[in-house]
Amino acid sequence: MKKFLLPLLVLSLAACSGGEQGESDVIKIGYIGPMTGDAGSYGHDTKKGIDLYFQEHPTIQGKKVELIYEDAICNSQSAASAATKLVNIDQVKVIIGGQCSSETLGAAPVTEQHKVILISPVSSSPEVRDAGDYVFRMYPSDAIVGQTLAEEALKYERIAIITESTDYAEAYHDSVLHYLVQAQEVTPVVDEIVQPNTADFKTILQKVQNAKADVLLSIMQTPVKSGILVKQAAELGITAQIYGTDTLAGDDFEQHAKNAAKGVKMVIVAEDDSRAEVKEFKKVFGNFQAPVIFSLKSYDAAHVLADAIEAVGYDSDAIKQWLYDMPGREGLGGPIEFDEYGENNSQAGSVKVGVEDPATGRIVFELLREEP
Amino acid sequence: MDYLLHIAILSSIYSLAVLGQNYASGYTGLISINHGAFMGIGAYAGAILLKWYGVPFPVAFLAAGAATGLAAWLLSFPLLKLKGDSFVLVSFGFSFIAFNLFLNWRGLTNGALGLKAIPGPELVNLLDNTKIIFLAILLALILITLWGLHKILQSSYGVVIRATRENQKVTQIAGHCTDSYRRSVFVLSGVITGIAGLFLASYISTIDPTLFNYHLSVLLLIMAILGGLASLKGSIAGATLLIVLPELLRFLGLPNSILAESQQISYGLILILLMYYRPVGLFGTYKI
Repeated sequence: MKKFLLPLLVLSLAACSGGEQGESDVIKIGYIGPMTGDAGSYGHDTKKGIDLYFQEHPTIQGKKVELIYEDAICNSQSAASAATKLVNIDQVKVIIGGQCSSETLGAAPVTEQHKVILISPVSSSPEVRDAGDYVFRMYPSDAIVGQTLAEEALKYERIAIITESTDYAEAYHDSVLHYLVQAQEVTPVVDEIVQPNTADFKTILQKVQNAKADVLLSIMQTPVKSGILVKQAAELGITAQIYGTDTLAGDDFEQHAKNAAKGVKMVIVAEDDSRAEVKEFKKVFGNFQAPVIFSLKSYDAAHVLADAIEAVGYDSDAIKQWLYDMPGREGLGGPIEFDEYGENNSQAGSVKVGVEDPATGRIVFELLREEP
Repeated sequence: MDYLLHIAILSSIYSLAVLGQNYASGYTGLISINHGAFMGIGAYAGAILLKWYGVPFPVAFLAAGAATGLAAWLLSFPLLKLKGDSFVLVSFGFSFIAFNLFLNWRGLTNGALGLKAIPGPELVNLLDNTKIIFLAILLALILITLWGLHKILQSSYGVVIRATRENQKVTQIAGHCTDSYRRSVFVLSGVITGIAGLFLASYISTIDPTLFNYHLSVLLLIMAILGGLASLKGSIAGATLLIVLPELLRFLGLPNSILAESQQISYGLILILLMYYRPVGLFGTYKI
């Protein structure tokens, strides 16, 4: 029994050690993200983006910034635990995270209850919009980006959609379908959902071929999966124009799709490669494990938060108001302006959505959606 | 204080689930790797009623128990015909079937997107600090479960189910219909675990299929083995230890560059050491 009580005692002592921060010389900023597990690469790059910002700007209001990282392994329950620890033990007033939408939605009830700012760099689920008053995000909602993909698809007559059964892909699929069916009254000729970890798409691709689809939307969780799908489509002789989403951006796609990658288009949230500061960021950052935009958005989240604290102090209510009132600005990952839901959708200018031609490997911003 | 309450609530939820697991695996020898699926069935059944039909919490409570009981009863027919490794493998297979149902029955479960903003018990609003009431309800439920299981195990029925664990043939020769005994144990164990699932759903207020994949089934069995098979207090100790341990590791003060990886490695190492030095678990009397 004593063995069993020891961890509890240690935890109690640890829990009691977190007192009121008061007028501390340190400004604590929490981080929640998937630092291990399948989505570890997202956590790695977003953490590095934040590290990079605070290496360049180590103080706010003359006080040292202390970053406290918590691993939530892309899981809502772990994110709730991480947020509870950050809020109650470390007494942070601001948290950058989560990265996976499930993390953000798991942590939000905790941060809302304690009136702590939760700013997510890359969560894109439409449900984050209603997660709370203190919840902000840098990445555009899938509802917006999905609509852009739907508009592209409407340039063709017979639309086929293949979606992987994951939270990101299904949310994205729903927003595409909503726009196609509700707004444009167009029904896809094929609309199939595949299991996560599926590696053989040939049966479904045969359906696409039989239905004589002239455009195929591939909504997958990872670039590897999209690469396999595109390769198998080419093997079957499918000539439909294939479109992918954000998750196509990555070397893995080209490695798996090989020659079939040529001509595949993608609707993605992307950085503007031609800007000097983005080029500089990429040089300093080194190797990316996830799409570059993820680390840019996390760098921007750290930047916006640091500016808010600099302007109004380490007070979550004041920071929240400052963020809502913040005039539009240009971040490394694109324009930043929060609407009344804390979303960075109604940006000054337009949502940065580009179409990339993998044949040249360059993202061309030929498709810019105007502000809704 | 809130953080301790949070850990206490999670530990209580998993303790309840492991009590169900241990009742089947420890006392009756049904080494099943599907209780994570039962937790999921209870969580989804309750959450769907709470969120979409606005039923009061006690109704969701009964429904979660009933749905899991029904699933366990149906599963028991093919499962209890099997023994040893086959039993373990088929129960493991059920975890995959249930996971795929949660993922693909989109009209009911909302698929991979899961269910968000699941309400908690109405009672929790009695105090400003809702966590205290939530914990009190859970502790009361655990005490009732402990008392109930203790009574069952002390009864002649309890002697028979333990006898089926030791030697099913001999128990049958003694005139007992062991299948009925084992089926009733499996159903009750499922009901207890399913109710724990409902509490998890209403506490974290957001669920998705990945929470209830086979990892959870394995975790619940590990909790039962670590705490001690055929030990009620061991169930609580095992669950509490495996919930508290990763939280404790958050306080190790490791450098940020190796923080997350080191936590995971330490977690695994501690488990290996514990099982090496205490193969029967902390309070166990029975070894697989």
